[in-house]
Amino acid sequence: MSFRALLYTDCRADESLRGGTGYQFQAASPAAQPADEMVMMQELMYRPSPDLMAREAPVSEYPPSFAYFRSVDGYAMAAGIYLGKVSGDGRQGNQITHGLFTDEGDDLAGTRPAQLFGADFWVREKQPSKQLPDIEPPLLYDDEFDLPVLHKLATCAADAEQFLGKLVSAFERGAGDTWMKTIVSCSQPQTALQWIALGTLLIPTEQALSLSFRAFVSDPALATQRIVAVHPPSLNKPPDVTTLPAVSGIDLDTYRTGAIEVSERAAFWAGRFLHGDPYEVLDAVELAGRLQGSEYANRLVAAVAVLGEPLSGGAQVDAVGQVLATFDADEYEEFAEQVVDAMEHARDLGDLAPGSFLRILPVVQRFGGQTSALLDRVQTNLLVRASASADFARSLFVDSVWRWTWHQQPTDSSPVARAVSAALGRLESDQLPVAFEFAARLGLPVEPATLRDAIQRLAEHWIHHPELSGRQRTWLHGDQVLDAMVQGLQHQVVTELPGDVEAAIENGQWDWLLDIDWIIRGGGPLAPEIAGRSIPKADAQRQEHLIRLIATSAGPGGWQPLWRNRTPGLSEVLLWLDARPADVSDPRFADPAGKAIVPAIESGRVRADLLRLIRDLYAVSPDALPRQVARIGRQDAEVSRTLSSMRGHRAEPTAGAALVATDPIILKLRMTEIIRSLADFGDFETLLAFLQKSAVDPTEQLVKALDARAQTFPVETLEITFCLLRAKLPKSMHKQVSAVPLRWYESATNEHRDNVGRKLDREWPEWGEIEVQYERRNESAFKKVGRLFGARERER
Amino acid sequence: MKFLAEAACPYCYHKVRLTSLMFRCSGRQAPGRQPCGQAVDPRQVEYLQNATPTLPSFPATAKVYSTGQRAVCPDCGGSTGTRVCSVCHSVLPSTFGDEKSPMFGMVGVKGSGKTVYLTVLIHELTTSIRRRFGASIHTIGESPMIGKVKQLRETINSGGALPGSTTVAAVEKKYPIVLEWRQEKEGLLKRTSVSSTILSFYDTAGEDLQTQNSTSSLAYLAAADGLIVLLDPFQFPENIQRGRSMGVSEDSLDTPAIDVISRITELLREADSVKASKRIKRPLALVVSKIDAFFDDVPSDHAIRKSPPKLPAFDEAESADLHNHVEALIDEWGGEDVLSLLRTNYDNYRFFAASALGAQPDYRAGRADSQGLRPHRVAEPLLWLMANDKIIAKQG
Repeated sequence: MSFRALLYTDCRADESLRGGTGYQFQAASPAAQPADEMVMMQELMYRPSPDLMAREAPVSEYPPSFAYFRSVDGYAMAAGIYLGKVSGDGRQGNQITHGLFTDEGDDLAGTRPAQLFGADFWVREKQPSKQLPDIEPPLLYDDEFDLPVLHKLATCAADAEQFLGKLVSAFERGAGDTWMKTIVSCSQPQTALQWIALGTLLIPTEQALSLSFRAFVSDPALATQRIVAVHPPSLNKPPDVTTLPAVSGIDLDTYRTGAIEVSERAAFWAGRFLHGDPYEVLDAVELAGRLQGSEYANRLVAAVAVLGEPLSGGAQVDAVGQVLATFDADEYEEFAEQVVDAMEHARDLGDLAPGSFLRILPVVQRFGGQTSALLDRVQTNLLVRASASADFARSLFVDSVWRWTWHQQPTDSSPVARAVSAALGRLESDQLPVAFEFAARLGLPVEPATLRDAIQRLAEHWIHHPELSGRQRTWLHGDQVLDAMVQGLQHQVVTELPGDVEAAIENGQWDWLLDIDWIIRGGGPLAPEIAGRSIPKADAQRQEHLIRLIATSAGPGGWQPLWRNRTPGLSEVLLWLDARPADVSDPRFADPAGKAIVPAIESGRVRADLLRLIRDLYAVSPDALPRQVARIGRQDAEVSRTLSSMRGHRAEPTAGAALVATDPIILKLRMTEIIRSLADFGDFETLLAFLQKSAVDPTEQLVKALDARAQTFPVETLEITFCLLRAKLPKSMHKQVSAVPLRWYESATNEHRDNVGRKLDREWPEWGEIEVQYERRNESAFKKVGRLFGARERER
Repeated sequence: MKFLAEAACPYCYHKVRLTSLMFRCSGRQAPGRQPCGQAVDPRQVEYLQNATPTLPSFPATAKVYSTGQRAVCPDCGGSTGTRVCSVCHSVLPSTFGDEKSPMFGMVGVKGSGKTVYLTVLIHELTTSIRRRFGASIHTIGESPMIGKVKQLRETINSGGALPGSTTVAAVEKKYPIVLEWRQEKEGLLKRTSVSSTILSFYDTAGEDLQTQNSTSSLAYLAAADGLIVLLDPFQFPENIQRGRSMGVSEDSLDTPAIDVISRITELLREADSVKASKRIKRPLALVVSKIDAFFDDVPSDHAIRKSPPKLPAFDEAESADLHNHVEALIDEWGGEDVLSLLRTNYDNYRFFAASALGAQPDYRAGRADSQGLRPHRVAEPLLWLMANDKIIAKQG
């Protein structure tokens, strides 16, 4: 885009652009806009010194003017000179001002507006035509504003570094919304503009172009520009700008300044500009202005990237990393490698944090691809640093959420793999869980053998921190760590469990180990230990599962860890025997089993299987059983012996009475056997004695025994029955026993009935009654038979 | 004392509510607080193109109902009584708002002598007029124009260079010159009191009146209570040749007087929303400047050569007589169109004849007469406007 142009001076109506007289726009370029005229009028116009006019100074004493204005929409600058008297008027004040306007900052091509002072393209006299040419960029500046000249000017100043720093600081304070005006005083117009050019060159372009300035003004306090220059020879009483309040005053003739605090930024660049290559420094200033980091960090990056300066200390590396993380594609392409190199080779990195490198990884990946040599380099650097510093490693492992990928997959003997082993080896045990998790994400082939110590320490740590359980799946070589941890626990179970470990087992925090097959199958003491503490709190289903689990893999005495400090429940004992029936023969089993049985005996809830267990236990180790259990066992054995004697017809007549003394638990469970034996024994007195004194009602078993026996030995059985009916039996028993002959009669054939009847008729009148009743085929009559038998008995 | 709801700021000409005035920090902080620093006030830059660092301005927490009220700076905790315009943040006179404070604009084509006239008028007001009315009249405020006017007057008085052409308003924003006129006033029951009037004058560049656009941009004219219009006698048709022979700039002769009056008329009609069928009520004091050049054309007892009355009041009869004589002169100079335009557009206008220098300058050299300033009837137009506003008494 070309620069639009306007020319303003005193002119006649026929000379002016609009046909007016006096101060008028005399000529304009084709693209000039009305808004340009307003900007030129308000901001750029030459203003002659009233003092020079008052003393009617010759035109040559009037300094030229040069002004630059940054508007919202564009950039404008103008050069003016004094012409003396207004034509035909006689009065002073005539001037000519040539203004240039553009909407594009790029048209200035990095040139600072002040550098254009005195350039050849400025028009200094009224034009014959009303049309000015637009001016094509770039605008060429005079040799006096070339960088070497400005550099020499700066180096020649008194206390050059400090002075330049103040000048730049003053200009910096002129930018932004809350700004402070800079007033420079200089007797030489060109020198004034050279310093303004130099100061603005050491400020990034955008900021520099925001600084409107005007040279020269008569009322500097009033002037609205960010930088204004006064020309002392033009004023009757030139102000001492260094004493003006609330402005940055700089006297360029004497190098004195007001109270201007040199900013860090200004000091940074001023020193480098004076002592280094000025072109490179300006490039660095520009780059720093473009970057997206903090001002300090941008400076460092620019110094590294453009001036090749080294970095020192973690803070610098971190700051540079922050900026690198904001690089765009072009900046990455041009500077990333150098910056990373400087970060890697920085000195005094005792306080370096991994974040400095971590934050640049995404940008390296964004612009360098999913994997790249540079990415490998930065990643390796991180891990190598971690291997050298526990603090660094800890921070890296805790903070990193980076997804590590490798351009060239390292081998297990590569430095980076070794670095991981070393880094893990440096960490305290409590840092290892996170570190192993991190190491797993690295995707590096780190051999477990190189991590033996770290794995062992992590396992030890884990034993005391069961809350880590489950995380082993995310750990590097988590299986090995689990193995080591289990071994450690096994060892402690065998030797001595620390309080916290024991509490954890009690709280069920290790129960999950029981779900691991190889731990169970290993048959070590750990699983029973855990199960033993877990079972009392588990529900029935879990209890059964655990007991079967342990029992299936246990050796002799395998129940002991389960019930070491407590009495097992009866169900546990039964479950255990269900899985390992042979253990009932182990004398050691009697004690816990007997204790488990006692409550059942005391509550009378003993079933046949339990009685069998008691019998088995008593047979193996009668003395090891609790008293109650032993008594049952003993009585049961005696009952067995008595019944055996009866079956051999060797029993004493008192056997019935002896059986009566047996514990009701046994009577109840063995009543059928006892009754059957008594019935088979055939001694009515023995049977009757038992029936009359038994603590347990034997009616049901008696009736069943008689019914069964009647099928085989009807005569004998009916005789016993009739005898019993004639004896003194409890009423209910009498009633049920009385039905036995009738049932037999009903089930028998006529032939059987006749045979039996022939044998019974003579002695047993009851038999005749049975026949009568049956003939009536009246169910109610059968019932009456009972009553009849009873009545007869009572009569007798 | 009258209580006004709002008044125009004598610096930016915006009407501000007296209950919404702001304060400027005194710079004396409360114990234990950091003092406020000076900084560029964006309002001053925007309205007056003044980037002089100043102490901060802030709105009062309580409404302002009277002069002399104070406020506490919210930043430094210091107490201050310095009131500023809530628009442009200019420091207001302490009596601002007590009485009507008229603003008088001055317009005229290029070369009609406005700057010289204003320079001399300010001097006259603070010297001879002050004595004549027994009033206290002095410049107030921060206007940099005060110093400039003083410097100009000294230059001209010593026979030095006439002021350079005044810069166009858009080129260099100019401050008005503000004066306070304090005078004893007799009220009801013969009791006297002191009245205070703020007068604000604004100098313009002749170029501002050359086109309709730039005229319209002079918003201050719309806010003025009365206008002093300077007419260059050499711009009337019959005097152009004479001016040329005396070395008056061709540029100055370019713009006919009728054009100036016509543009002002359009502006005032627009500002006051005056229908075409109605006349403008705003008073217009039309001053034929440089009248000394025509003294030789009239008898010595002619009204334009008479010295103004010395009474502490405006002599209406004498002024009316002068008006008639000037009207006749203008008619004679070929300005009948001007008279016709004024008659048909204005209810209240008055002609005056004045000379700021009192003697013809060397137009070609741009220098004043070596005998110094001898102003003639410079203050009469202003006194007429003030009498119209009942600020001073009328007689006759």
